[in-house]
Amino acid sequence: MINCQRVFKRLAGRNVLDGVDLQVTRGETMVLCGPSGTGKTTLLRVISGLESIDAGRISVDSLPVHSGSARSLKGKVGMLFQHFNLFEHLNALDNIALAPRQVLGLNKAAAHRRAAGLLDDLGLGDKGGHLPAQLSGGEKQRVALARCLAMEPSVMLLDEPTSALDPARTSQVAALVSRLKRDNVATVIVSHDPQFGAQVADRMMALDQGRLVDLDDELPCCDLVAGSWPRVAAALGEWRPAPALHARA
Amino acid sequence: MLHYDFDWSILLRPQFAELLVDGTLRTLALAAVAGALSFVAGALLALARTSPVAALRWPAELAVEVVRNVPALFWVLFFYFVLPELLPPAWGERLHTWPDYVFAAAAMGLALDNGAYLSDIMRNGMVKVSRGQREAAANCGMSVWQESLCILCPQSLRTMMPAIANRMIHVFKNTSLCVAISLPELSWATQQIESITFKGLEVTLLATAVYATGSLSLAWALSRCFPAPGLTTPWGDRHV
Repeated sequence: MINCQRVFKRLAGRNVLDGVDLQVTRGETMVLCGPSGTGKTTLLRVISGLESIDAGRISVDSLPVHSGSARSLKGKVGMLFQHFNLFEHLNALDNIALAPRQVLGLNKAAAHRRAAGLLDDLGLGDKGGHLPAQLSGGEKQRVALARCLAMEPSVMLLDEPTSALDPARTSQVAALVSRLKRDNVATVIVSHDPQFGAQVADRMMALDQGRLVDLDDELPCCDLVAGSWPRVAAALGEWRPAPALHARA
Repeated sequence: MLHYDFDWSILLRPQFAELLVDGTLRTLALAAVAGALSFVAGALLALARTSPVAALRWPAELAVEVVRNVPALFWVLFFYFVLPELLPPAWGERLHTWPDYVFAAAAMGLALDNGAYLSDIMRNGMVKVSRGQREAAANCGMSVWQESLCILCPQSLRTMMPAIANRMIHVFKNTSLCVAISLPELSWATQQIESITFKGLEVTLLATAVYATGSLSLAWALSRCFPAPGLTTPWGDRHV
């Protein structure tokens, strides 16, 4: 589903992505962790076609991805942005219904039905008429998530999906990720929340100096656990992968 | 001190009144056509100037700089006198003999001048819409056109409109420049009546009142239709 081969990306004089190889299959959920500034968001952006790469190949569902191909993917790769990026002039319902109408050609009633259903699923059934400025951080995040889901993507990229949520809402997002898995959506999640990661991940990886580290493979000999990377070390302490879900792509 | 005898009755003489009414209507028509054309020109230039394609961006930047740094009167004269000479002789001849060409040349000159300024206003309005929203639109699969129409324009127009309204008032007042190509608009009518009657003050004061009333009405209407967000009106209302 997602296939990255030897992907290089240089930003501000350093290799943010240094030969990244990554495969994520249908229905698989991969959680990507690592300290801030290590290129996790950049990896999501290059997979979604919002950012160019210097070398390597990326494909989604066998379609090649390159800079500027974000539009041509037609919402097939949904991305939940860290800062939500909601359309400020549209209420929650229209934020979600706009792309299905414009890109998928749904009529207004059908697009609004789909948007209202997603808002209900995410516990925002009564917020459809609210503008983004009238929503809390957590509510904005769920509207942004619903906007992606409205396009029925085959790949979801979630950048810190629980950063603005309380524990109850975090469980709601975890349930939603489980639903994505059931719907055979390949999901990559950037998260600093170890509990959430443990709850949803089939596979947990980290980006360290531009390289992907499979935490399960590297754990026994990885000096990260020694304390050089406290958050990941903490995450590793919490994480117990279920063997049945731990198949590599 | 010279003594001047005001004779307001000349304004009521049928031939002069007709000249003034025709001139006023032509001034309004010219302002409307030039304003609409300049809006289109400004939007196209602004889109080109914000385009990621350098081949669109640089020519648009150059065009705006050239147009903006030359007086509006020059562009009116250019379209009336110079453009027909630059075209193939048959086309130039057709323009010269087209009775409405003086109006068309005036409209194009004013529109080009105003379009350059409008493109600046529109470009600034467009870049105020966050890059994140544009990326979200791209990620949803929306085309550049859909993004512009559904995301950029609705948000940026609201912040741009007060400045655009100012430029439209300029266009209305700049119609008086077209007296230079003998377009029978209000200023031309004023000059005609003065040269016949030698009663310049009456007719000039009337024209001044017409321009002031037109500008104030336009400013009032635009400020009511497109209030500037966050500003307080002279009447104490605060727009949100």
